[in-house]
Amino acid sequence: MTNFPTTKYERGKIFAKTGLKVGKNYASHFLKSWIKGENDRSALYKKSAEDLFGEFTKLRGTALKIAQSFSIDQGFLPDEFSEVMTQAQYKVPPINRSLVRSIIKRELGGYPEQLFASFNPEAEAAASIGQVHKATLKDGTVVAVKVQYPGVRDTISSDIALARSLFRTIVSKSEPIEPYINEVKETLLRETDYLQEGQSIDRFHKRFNSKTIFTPQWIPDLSTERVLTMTYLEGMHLNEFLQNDPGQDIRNQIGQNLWDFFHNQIQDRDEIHADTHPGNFLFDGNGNVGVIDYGCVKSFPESFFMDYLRLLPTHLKQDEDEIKELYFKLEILKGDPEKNPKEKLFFDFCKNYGFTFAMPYLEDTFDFGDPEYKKLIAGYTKNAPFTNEPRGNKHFIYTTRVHLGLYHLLMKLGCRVDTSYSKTIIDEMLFD
Amino acid sequence: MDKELTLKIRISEAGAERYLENPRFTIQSLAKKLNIDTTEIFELFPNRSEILNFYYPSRILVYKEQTRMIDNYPDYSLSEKLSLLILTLFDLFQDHREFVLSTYNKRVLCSMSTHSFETQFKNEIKQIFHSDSNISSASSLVINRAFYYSIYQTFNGFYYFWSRDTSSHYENTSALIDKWASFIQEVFYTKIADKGLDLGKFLFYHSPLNQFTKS
Repeated sequence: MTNFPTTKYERGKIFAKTGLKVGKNYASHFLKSWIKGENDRSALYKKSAEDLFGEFTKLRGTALKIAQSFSIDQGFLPDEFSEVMTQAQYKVPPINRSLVRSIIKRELGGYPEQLFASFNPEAEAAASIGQVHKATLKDGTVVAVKVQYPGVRDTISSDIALARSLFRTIVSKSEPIEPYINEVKETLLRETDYLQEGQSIDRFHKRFNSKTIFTPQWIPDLSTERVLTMTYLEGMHLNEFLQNDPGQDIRNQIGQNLWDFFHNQIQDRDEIHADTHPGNFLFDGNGNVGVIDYGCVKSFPESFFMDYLRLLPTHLKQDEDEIKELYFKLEILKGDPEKNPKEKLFFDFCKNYGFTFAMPYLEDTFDFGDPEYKKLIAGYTKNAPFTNEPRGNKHFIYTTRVHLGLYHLLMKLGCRVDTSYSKTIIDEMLFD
Repeated sequence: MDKELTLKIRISEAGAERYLENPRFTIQSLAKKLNIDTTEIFELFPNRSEILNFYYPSRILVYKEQTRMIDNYPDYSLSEKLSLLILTLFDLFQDHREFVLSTYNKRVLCSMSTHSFETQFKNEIKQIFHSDSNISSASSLVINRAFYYSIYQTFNGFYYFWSRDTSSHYENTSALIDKWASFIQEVFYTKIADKGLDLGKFLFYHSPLNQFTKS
């Protein structure tokens, strides 16, 4: 059980300490490899990731969101990092049980023992913004009660301010970073409003709850901005599910359900569950998928979203002029690649990456279990041309998170997916 | 909790509410509000002041009743027990915030003799520290009456902070209590002092000073 640092000083100190710890790990690794001639980096990566995770769990909020992103964006970091960071999705040390009890009293007007038939004071899962407790209502309904860490809103503002000053030193002064920073800040702050999340749960339940996709039901009478009550979903997280060595058929079935869920969301052009990391999906063992955590639900402007979708067929056609035109519209290119070598570098990289990314839409089935494809995607992430200027429309932050997050889930599942239905959806959206 | 005590608590809470309407309320008006007979109140309290005074120790009684309903309370760590006591008291104070803000200083802090709230609060602290088997032996040396008093004074500091806290749902007060309780736990659970004492004892038994005291 830990207390939660909220002041700028405390949080800055932890950031600095983390840097020192990771620096120390690298220094001792290089010293050892110099003296003993050993150069096994996996232990170094694991130790550094554990140190990073350990310190980030103290910070929660924005820092843990970063840790969660590390676990999705495989390829950018070594596998050992991603494995440890996966814990950031649900294995954060919970807060004091007495504090949870007091928060519930202040928010719901009564203590858990008064409001619920039973309430487990031990958190079922604890993540970046809050922790979840299993409880039973007086009518026997099993529910999940999500309790927000106190002061988490303030920490988001101070962490974003810290990140802004950090980016300012890295990013070229002429480049605007505010739209990106503000997009992340607004999304994070929206995630702290549990009433909005409850309404999203309601809408997603009406839209998607079916035989293959199960979603919770919101219980508004026991919810406030900081406490959220919803029906409890049973199921295993991805790692736990894979430990049972499931057969290929069930992997394919799950993959298909995830793939269809994603495309059904975009078909409605309404809102999208934009937090596609393994911690937000549950598997029941029969191939059905539970979708939890509706804090990060996004709606994108129609024009951006259609252009984003248009990237898929355009990359597959490999028509350079059309690709270029789209890239300009989506703010990926800032100048003519024929005249500017830096733009040419970007153009070539994005064109090839875009084609690889669109490959699942090429044929009627696609094997996400193909190790070559995983290597290909990871290779692009590793070899991305880094510069000190941000590229692409600010909405890419979340569309990429959803789309890439889905690919990584499917690759981890090692499933084969029928993509014909999704291609029809995209065709209808773009050309009808 | 027996019927008489429950009624006493009900009377004191109603008294706190009545006080805000009229600080010089009569026992008759309170009895009317509670829909009971005046004699029932007089059997339990001699006067209005005693009713208002009882409000504070009655918070400890309500807290004790609540802890009985918490499963696994004995398994709670030191920081959890301390924060449970203090957070619950502030939760209860919150229900009559205006009354507490206008009477706590005068009735409890500036009381001529030790207020029963102080006595009961210190008893609870004593109970919490004595029932915790994880406290290091060296730390337990400082657990005495003066220590209980210092915790009580810390509580008064929290009261001062809470009375001026403008954060949403008094979040900052909760955060302060949580941090303080975690700090106290770290101090009392640490075995560093035990190890230090052990080392000190060893050095003493094998030092010339010990030979000298023996002779």
